[in-house]
Amino acid sequence: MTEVINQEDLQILEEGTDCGTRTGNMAKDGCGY
Amino acid sequence: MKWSMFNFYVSDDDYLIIRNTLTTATMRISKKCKEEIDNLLFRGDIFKFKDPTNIERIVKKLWESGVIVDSIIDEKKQYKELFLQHREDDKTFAVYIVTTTNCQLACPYCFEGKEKKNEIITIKDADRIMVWIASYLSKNYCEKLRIVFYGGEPLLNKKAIKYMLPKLKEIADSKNLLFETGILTNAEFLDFEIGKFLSEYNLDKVQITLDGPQKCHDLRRFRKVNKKGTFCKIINNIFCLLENNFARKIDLRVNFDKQNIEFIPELFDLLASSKVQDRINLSFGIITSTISDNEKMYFEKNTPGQLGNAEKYLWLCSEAKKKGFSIPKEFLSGPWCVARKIHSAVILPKGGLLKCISLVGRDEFIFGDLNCQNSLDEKFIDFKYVDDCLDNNCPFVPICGGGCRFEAYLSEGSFSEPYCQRDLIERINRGLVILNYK
Repeated sequence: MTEVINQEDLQILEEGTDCGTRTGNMAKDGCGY
Repeated sequence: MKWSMFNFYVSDDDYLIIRNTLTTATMRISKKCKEEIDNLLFRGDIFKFKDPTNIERIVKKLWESGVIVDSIIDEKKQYKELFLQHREDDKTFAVYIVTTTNCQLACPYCFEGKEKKNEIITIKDADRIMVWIASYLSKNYCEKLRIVFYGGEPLLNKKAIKYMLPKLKEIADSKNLLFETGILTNAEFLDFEIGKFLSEYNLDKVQITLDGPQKCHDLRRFRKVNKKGTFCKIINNIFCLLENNFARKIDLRVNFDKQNIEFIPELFDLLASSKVQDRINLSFGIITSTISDNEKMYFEKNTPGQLGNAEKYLWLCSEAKKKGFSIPKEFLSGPWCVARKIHSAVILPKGGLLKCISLVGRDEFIFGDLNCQNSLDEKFIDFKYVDDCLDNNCPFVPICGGGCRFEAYLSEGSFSEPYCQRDLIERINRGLVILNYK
């Protein structure tokens, strides 16, 4: 059963990942002009 | 249970927006509810997840998202283990091939300096480089070969690209590896023919730079020989790539400083008038200091500083959003780059190996050559600086990983010291939460 959370108390804006070591990110937001 | 050390909090009237930098989970929670949870956590109450109350359901959700963690978890230790494990698990061999160290432009902020050597990959050099890549892949288990053409300006040597790319693909195919291609270019020579050619090799990243509308781009990114501006050719080449679907999206880099910041929204207008917002990833480049004196002087004269850069970055995001461009959810300055990977190399035309693309043009940082059996540079294997940042309880470590190694060298004289840009990173990431979610 889906647990209903009162939206006035908590809204989920982004679920997130279970382990966030940023594997997709191969360059910092700044390499190479 | 306890709140994760990797949370940061942004106030939103009667609510708080909580973003966890490790998992990217983002929640809007009422301040009243947050206070109730604080009290429960302070009292150390054990939550029951069977027949839960409303507040317990909220705690469970926050716990599942990593925003709340078990009290016994040592998050610092856990992060460092994840960091090192990811480095081990990453099986993409990323090779940045510098087809030439030369460039037709003379951008005043270029970290490679204005006086570039004119080294170029010949067919003989290309053969040696490909033998080394094949040999590396025979000795090291990898699952993907990623080739990125870099320079100087890589398209000054189209001959090497056209010669190497089919053969590199064959190497990957023969070893049953995935294969992808990228290019970082000023795009003056990225015409139909080379665009079509690259698109046949799983082209997944094209990074092109425009420093604003024509009037300011051409003042910064002009031809070295005759000072002729490059804007018109570049914008035509961008539209050509997109119209012919040679690239699904283009990473459009816009370097900003005091000289051009106020004009950049005019570039957004121009692109928006062609309705290409969904084909462009905007990347706002903060100009950084460098080693050579001239460019360092330019940086010192024109940088608005960490907080100034943060404000201007956010202003650009806000203007871009108004024009229908997507803006990033977060500002990352790491933690992963080619310099921190195990399986990576930047190969210079004559076979010199570097670990970091910001070191191109600085031969004193070459760590090996094509006789090397591995791609490890001892300057980049000490990660103690990550511990130092964790010891400071910084919630932003998962998105900076201890800071850019090149900038650590410039600032601290060592590639192994922490390089903290917390003011910049915190200000921008808090601002992005507001722009994206408030």
